[in-house]
Amino acid sequence: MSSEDVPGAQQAALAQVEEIEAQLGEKPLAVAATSGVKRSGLATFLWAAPATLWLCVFLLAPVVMIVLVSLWTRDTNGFKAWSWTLDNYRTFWNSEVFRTALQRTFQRAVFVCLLSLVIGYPIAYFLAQIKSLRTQIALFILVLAPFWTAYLIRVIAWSPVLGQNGAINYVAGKLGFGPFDFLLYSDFAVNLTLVQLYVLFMVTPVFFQLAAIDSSAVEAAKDLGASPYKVFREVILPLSLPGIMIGFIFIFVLVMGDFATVRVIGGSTVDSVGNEVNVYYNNVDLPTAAAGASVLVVAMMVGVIILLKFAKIRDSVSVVAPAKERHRTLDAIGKWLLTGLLAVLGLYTLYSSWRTLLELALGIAVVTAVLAGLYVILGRKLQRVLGVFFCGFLVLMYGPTLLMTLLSFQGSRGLTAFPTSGIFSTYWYDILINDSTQQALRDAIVVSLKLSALVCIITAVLSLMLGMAFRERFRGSTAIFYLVLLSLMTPGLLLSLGTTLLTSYLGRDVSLYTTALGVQVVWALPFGFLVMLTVFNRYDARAEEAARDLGASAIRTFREVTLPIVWVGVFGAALFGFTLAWNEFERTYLVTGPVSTLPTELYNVMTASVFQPYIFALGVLTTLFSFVLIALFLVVSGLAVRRARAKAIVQDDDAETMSMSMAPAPTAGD
Amino acid sequence: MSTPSAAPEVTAPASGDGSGLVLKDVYRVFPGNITAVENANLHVENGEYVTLLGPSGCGKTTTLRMIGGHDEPSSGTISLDGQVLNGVEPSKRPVTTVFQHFALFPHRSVLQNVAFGLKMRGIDKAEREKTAGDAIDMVGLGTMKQRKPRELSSGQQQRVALARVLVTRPKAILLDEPFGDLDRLLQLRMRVELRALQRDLGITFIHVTHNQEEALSMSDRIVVMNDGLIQQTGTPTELARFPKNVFVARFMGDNNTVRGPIESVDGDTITIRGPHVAARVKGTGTVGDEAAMTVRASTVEVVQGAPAVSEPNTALARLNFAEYLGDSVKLHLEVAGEPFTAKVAETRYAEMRDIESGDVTVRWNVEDGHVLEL
Repeated sequence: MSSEDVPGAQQAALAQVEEIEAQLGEKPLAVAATSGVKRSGLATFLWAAPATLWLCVFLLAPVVMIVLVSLWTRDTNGFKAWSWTLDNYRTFWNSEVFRTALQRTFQRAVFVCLLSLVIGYPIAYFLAQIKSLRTQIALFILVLAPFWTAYLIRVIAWSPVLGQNGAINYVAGKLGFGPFDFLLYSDFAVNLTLVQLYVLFMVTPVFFQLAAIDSSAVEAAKDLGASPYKVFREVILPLSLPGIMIGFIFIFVLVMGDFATVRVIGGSTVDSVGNEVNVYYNNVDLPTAAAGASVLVVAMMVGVIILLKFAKIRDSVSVVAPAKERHRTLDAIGKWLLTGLLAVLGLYTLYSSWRTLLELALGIAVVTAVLAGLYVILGRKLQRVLGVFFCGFLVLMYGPTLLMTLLSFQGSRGLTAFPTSGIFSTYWYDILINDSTQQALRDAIVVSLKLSALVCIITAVLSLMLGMAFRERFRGSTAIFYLVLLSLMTPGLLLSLGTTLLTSYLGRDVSLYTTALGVQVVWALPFGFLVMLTVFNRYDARAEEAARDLGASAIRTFREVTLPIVWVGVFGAALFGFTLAWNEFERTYLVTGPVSTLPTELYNVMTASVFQPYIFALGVLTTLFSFVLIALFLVVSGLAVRRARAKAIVQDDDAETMSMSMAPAPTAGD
Repeated sequence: MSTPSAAPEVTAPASGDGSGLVLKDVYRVFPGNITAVENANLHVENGEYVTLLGPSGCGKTTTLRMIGGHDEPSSGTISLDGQVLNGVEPSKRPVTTVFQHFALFPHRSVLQNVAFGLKMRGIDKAEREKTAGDAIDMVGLGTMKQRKPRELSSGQQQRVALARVLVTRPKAILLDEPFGDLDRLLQLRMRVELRALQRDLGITFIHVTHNQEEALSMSDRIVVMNDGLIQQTGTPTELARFPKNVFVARFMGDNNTVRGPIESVDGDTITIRGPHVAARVKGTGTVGDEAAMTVRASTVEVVQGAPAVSEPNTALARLNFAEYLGDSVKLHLEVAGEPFTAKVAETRYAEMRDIESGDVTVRWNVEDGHVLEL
């Protein structure tokens, strides 16, 4: 066949093509192929049931309980079930203290959201722009690591920074200012701490959104004439908007429910909804406490609805049914209405407290000024500017902890103030480990260890099972997925309060290994589940098909094929389980029974007495412990990846050697 | 028709007026001393369809990116119609790129995607939507203006990517493996459509691919690259009939190469003793020197049975597999352990099937082979 025949052959091919296409029709890209052994509905049910049941008992039921109890009448023993009344709502609506607390809490939530956006977005952008995957992951872990330290410890660490005798005042004093006594025990301090605690919830989703943007789309935009600013506004910002929304929702709901941070940092001068709820609870006025908590439930539900409808999470998770595209105009109207409503509410609350508005404006101005200044100084290289900003961010995240470490090595005359007194000494570590006054703390450590170990195992098993269930879409998978997401978003107070109400109703007691275990697993499960989802996403189910083909039973296939491949994920889920349980406070707070875990014991110490530097020693040790665990996980998974890659390279080499000895001319169409 | 004894020397098109796209002595060296493109010299006339062809890692995509402005040469100049493009941003160059996976904006509708370039130029909404709408109609997607990219098939997405580029009226369009994401049926169809579109518009198209069949069917000229170097530039017929060296001969496919020392010189022919067969071909050289030649599979005769005489351009071969291609038969043979290919008429399929695993004789004429550079 000579080349003159080419056009003729093409025409023939074209005719054939058109005929076949007419029969096939062109298919949209969105149709995904499922592979793997076909599973029975029963098998899926069995995989998903345990985790779902657990979540229903320790997540759904407590929340439902709160709403119910809020409508029941008060009783000497707590509440009178099934005796309906609206009195509780009237009580707290009439309480000026509560209304103020609500307003303040709402302001705080909005403030933290906005400031987290201003600080978190540049950080996420910086991370997303990093070229080397290794560096990117390393820095991302660096940002995320504080999350694994005890939440309370991070809170505690702020006091030597902000306190009247703290670092800032020390420096200010040397420069001739202050002391500023509004730093600690004030709204400002609380807000700052909250930003530090929750900014991660903004960085993470935004980072993932940005990283998912097709870089060639950015190049195409440049090609078509877009300036860097236009590229950002027209391509990058719209595509990262879902991430921002997710961040807002999580931060908003969680800050609404935060009471421990407020209490420890703000002392008695700063109030919160959670705190008020606790007050009523301590007075054994359960129904009113529940009514107060219901406000948080409402906030949470609104958050979930927004997430459901607008945050496009469904599009990025393939096992969930895609959002239906109908009613576009209705959706758009609804979206604008809701956003408008929230904006108005937010602005009103901010306006009604001019001080918060001022602080917010100040915060944003400072950040912008810093960025702009750096931009000019460093010669207009955006990545460099963001790099410096990133370092500043790390100072914010790790600074208090480092200071705490420094202070933990003070001599016996040391105070929780700055500067350090005495020379380097392990005095306080000694007190911590040996002194009889700290026995309660040491006991709490043991309790925490045991409980966390249990949570670790259960989380690993439940995550694995749920992950197995979610390998394909099934009826109810969307609902269960949102249930898991709900667990991430539920303020801890709701869970602990709700669980005590539930046990009270059932006539039982709270105890460490029932209720505390229950709520801690609820907290750890979403993380373990997400890890398993990621692992299964890369998992080629055809390996199982091949095994079955060769005669293996379902059980053997699971043991010999599936498990060895996904064990890294299981290990990760286990690690999450342990560290999250180890650090958990808000959910565990009311449901441990007579025993204390380490975090609850810490809280008691913090709020009851003036603490001493042995707290810092404790903080250092527990943080170190968490970091060791993270490092362990990284080493193990790194080794696993490297081994797999080495194997793949060997296989690649073999394949290459084979193909080189065959016919050299590549055939058409490869 | 007599075939010339050597490939005609392929030079740049005759016009010396500085028009068209010119690459002069272009190098691209990456950190770590990795030379991706070496000494590239190329002149593309306005309105030509040129394909950069080669295996993965040969430098074709790097070259394309340098033309488009997404990468800068380490040395050398790139100019279009006399205007030097080095250092000029992509948005300011009169060339636009269609990316491999289309790079559509997922959050914008088809219409908004196509109108993007116009929006960046500050054209008001009514006018740019009209222009964009026309371009969308031209590529045959008129009813899908409001759809989002994920609601389109690959073929449709590609047409949107094309429309988006066309709307900016570039002087040249660069396409980076445009058919990579399409299934085979669609590929065949899009070749015809794309070529027709280019002819209608009269714009220069520069197309990158690793598929030599695609290059042959669509291009005015093909630039074959390997290891960063341009191996040969020529029309499809020139490359198919007169590949310059062993690499091009093998890459274009359906070529049998013979390489070895020159056994004898006889007038204007030389005989090369390859590892599997002796090949006599028109050319010059000294006995003992290394030389290479190639003969196209379609010019090789195949008859049943062993050869009667032992002479150059004839060999005993074993037929391993007769591949039915629908309109011809490709024979996968083995000569003294080396692979060998021949193509015969479709009507001989039954005959060839019967001979499979048996012996045949392959032979070709002296004029059908030609000498390769080493």
